[in-house]
Formats: sequence, C-alpha cells, structure tokens
Amino acid sequence: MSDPERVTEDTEQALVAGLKARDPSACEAIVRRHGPVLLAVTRRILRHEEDARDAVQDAFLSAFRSADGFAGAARLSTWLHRIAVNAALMRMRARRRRPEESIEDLLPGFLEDGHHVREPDEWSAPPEALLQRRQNRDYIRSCIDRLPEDYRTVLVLRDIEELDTDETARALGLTVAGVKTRLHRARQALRGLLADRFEAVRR
Amino acid sequence: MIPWITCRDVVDFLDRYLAGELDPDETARFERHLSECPPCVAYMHTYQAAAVVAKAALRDAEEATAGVPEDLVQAILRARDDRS
Repeated sequence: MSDPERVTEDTEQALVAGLKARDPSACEAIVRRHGPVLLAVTRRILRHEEDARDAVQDAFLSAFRSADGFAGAARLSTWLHRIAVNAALMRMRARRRRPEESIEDLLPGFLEDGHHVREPDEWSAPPEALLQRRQNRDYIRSCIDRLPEDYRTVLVLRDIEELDTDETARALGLTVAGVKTRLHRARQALRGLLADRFEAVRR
Repeated sequence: MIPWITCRDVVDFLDRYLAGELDPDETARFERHLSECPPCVAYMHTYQAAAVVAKAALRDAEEATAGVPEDLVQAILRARDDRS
C-alpha cells in the first residue's frame, strides 16, 4: 500500500535529518527538490536572472550553515522560502536602482469635490477569463514591473509570496503601518495600469 | 447626522474597509456611498481583481519553467564543499 502524502513526509524528514548531519547527498537532494521554487521566488523579487541565481546560492548556503536553527515546527519548504526571500532582499539592497516612475503618477486622480477624474468601470471579463490569454498575462507582468521598486516589493511579498504584514515589515525594516500604506498604494497603482487595458469599452 | 464621504475617501480607506478595520459608523458611511456609486463599486471590484491576476500571472510564468539549471546546482554544491 502506498500513501503519497506519507512518502513525501518521510522523505522530508530524511532530508532534514541529512541536512542537520551535513550529509552531502541530502544537501544535493534538497537543492534539486527545492531549488526550482526558490529560483522562482528570487526571480519574482529581483527580475534579473543572474541576481536571482546568486540569491538562490546565498539562500542554500545560508540554509546549510543554519541547519541547526531549523526547528522542524515549520515545513522545510516554508523555512527555505523565508531564507530565499531574505537572500533576494539582501541582493536587492546591494544593487543600484533603476530609474522608475513616481508612485504619485500611477495613483488615481480626484477632482476638488472628491469625485474621480476618470470614473472607474468594471473590467470586460472576470479575472479567470482575462488570465486565459497569454497576452493578458504578459501585460499583467509588465504592469507589475512598472511599479516603483519599494511598492512592487511590498506587493510581491504580501500578495504573491504571501508573507503576512508583520513578516513583510521585519523583512523590509518598515513599520506595519508603512507596509499597509505601501501595499494599498501599490494595488491602486496596479489597478490603474491594468484598467487601461481591461476596462470594459465604454459606449 | 452622518456626514457624506467622497469617492476619494472610499479609495483612501478601501484597504481598511476590506480588512474589516473601519469602525461601525465608518463602515455604515462607506457602504452608504457604495450603494449609490457604481464607479466606486467598480473600483473596489477591480482593486480586488488586480491582486488576484497579479498573483496568478507571476506564479504561472515562473513555476511553469520549473527546474534549476545544472550549472547552478553544481555551483551551490561546490560552494558548500569549499566552506565546509
């Protein structure tokens, strides 16, 4: 009788034991098994292939060094995910900033009486339908790329990597209120950019 | 007498409304505005949709091309050997 869940758990326990014992084959197995997801994480944060690879390497070396600190209460994948996020953020702080748009220019405008300058409308289709088309997915990614880095990073950590507000604040050295403000502005800016293409055509 | 809130207020406080962080009085004013302002309802829907599509589009792209280049795997293992 085979139970896939059980097999996975047994494998994970064996890998953790091997990691703590500094067993080379366990380390290799961990790199092969968890590397793809960690590389996806560092790519999303850094958007630069070489930096993303360097961050994955930093993350694994840091994991191997601090294996004793892995309590086992968390899943191995969750622990590695946090390490990879931090490694990517370290790389990001070290590199030079790209020129970027101001967040103010991407936020909605209001008239003096508080009405929208440009009235928002529903989108032409629900999210699942929009996501069916590859051009739309590419467009969504290009819009996320246009967000200023401070805002884009908060959006990626909270909405894509699913860190909670406290974790995001700690990882970025921000206050909880600062994370909330940036996330709200990032979502507003992204909504505006997406609306340019997805809003229902008005008659 | 409950003062009116503007579309701008709705946008400013939308995250707190969605997170259930407004007090009952603020929530009542917020919902009264929404009940009479289709553009703000559209704003709220599309604000939520933006987060949904962002997550799907970013995850889709990079996890589909799963796998770690072999040279990276080898580089990590070499670096580990060097330091241990």
